[in-house]
Amino acid sequence: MLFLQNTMSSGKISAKLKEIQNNLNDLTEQFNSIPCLTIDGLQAIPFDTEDNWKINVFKILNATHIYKSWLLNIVNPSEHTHPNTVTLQFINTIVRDHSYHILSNYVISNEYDTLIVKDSIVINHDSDD
Amino acid sequence: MLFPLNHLLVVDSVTSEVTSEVTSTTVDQSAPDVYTEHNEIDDATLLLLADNHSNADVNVADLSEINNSINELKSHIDMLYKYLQPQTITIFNFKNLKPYQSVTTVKEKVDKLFQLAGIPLHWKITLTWTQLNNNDIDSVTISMLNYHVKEKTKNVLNTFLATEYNNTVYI
Repeated sequence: MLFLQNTMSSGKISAKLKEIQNNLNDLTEQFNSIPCLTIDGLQAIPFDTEDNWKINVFKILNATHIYKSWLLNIVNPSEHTHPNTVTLQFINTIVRDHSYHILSNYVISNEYDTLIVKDSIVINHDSDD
Repeated sequence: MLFPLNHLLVVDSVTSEVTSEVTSTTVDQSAPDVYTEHNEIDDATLLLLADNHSNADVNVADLSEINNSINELKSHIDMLYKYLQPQTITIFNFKNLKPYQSVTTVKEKVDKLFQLAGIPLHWKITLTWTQLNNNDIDSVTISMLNYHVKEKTKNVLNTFLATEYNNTVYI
């Protein structure tokens, strides 16, 4: 009986270890990911076309009190001079989630129906230490 | 040897739903507690027992798998530690930073450096430094808000110091 119980226990322990391993994988990925917001539909916003795209994005950020120091980067994936989509990379999920909330309200209160704010992540592959 | 064998038969009989038939033919008077013990095992245990179909090879394989899992867990915990430990950057040869008017203290010098490199001042938390015998500051360690902030600051400062100081001040 002891022998069987040992066998059973090892199977059970193995399954539990796998479960913990999966949880740790998720946790590691969360730590290694940069929390982001993607803003779609910028071309429909009446910006000053003379301005640099980044200045136009900062106009939204200033209007919504999203501080520059909350951001790691602002990415223009299309590299278009007036991109329709930009990605804001945040320093942590707390400020990202807060910014998502206030940007969503900004879209509603200004009736920018074409502006879509989505949360996302990017996996950081640059870590070297 | 008869004892575990009886258990196996009972377990197999449960999974194949012929418990009564098997127990009636296999349990003898020399092992009267076998059926009683079987009743004490819950359903989950029985399923696991059936899955394992106990033999020595399976047991060794399980132990090896557990050992591998533990090693993988250890390496994952090491990776997590990288994110959870205090996030610091150390600037060496701090004394070589250019002097600026009305910038005298270590904090003011670091603030000026951050400002010139375009790094938000709020990203840093505390400063500690080491001094040389002649009271010059040798190195300054800056603790940063979090891992991502540290990585970004490190990249920006590396570029800035390479350009402006030709790495006479470095991280």
